[in-house]
Amino acid sequence: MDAQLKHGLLEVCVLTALFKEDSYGYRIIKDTSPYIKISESTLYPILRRLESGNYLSVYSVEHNGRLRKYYKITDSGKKKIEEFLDGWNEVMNIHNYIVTETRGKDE
Amino acid sequence: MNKSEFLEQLESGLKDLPNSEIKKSLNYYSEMIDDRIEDGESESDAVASLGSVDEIAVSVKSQTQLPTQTKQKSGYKIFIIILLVLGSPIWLSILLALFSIILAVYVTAASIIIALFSVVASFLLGGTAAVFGSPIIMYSNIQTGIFCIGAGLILFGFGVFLAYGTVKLSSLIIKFTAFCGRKLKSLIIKKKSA
Repeated sequence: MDAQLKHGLLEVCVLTALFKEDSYGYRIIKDTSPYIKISESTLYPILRRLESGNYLSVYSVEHNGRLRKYYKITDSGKKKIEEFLDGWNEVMNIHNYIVTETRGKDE
Repeated sequence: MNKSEFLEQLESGLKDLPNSEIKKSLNYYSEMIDDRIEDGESESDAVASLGSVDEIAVSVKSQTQLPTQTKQKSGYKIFIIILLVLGSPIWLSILLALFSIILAVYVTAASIIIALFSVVASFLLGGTAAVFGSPIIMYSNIQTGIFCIGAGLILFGFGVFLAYGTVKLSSLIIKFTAFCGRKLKSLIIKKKSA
């Protein structure tokens, strides 16, 4: 996938991984891995950006004698997903246009 | 490479960043390694799958350096303002003392000049009065009158002589006080910026 396009999708994918329940770094990577490849070093700045933008909040939970950071999606995080889905209709229109112009057979 | 080696190398790679940033990123990668080990990977595999330490350090730095630097600066400014407010009993009194010294120097110089000119004026006025008053005395006693003219002329002569010296001396005093004032001012301004 195009790097620029992927970059925009990553934030929304991370937020989506938190939509049903709070999660932690490694699980976010695993949950999204069937759809998009996020490495640890890519995820770190995304989480920081989403946190500073108030799209998610962070809390620590003790797990096996160590602290694990859990991420919780905020209302504005959920709104960001909605906006992405709304905007996607536009992308689909452009996709259709590209497909019909380049691959469509005009009789 | 094991986990602690990885974290050590990462820490030294991030050493330009503020401590809180270093700690956050070390915690993150430490958690990632622990979670991978818990998931069944060996420690060295877990570390290896994160990629090169240098690349991670570069990417963390490029993502965090700018906002933290501006934060540090504003924090530093606030710190300075707090210090200035808390230290006001000390630096305000020092400042006041320095201003009083400057004021005292100027007042002293001005009074010396005024005193010198008064002396000169008294010589000149006294001499003139004696010379012009002598004819009245001459009516009653001619010798005393002549003495008066002589004394008056001597006084006036002294006055002219002193006036010359006083003008020279005054300009010297004015120059000296101006010099002192500049010195003290630069002292205060240096104190403020330090």
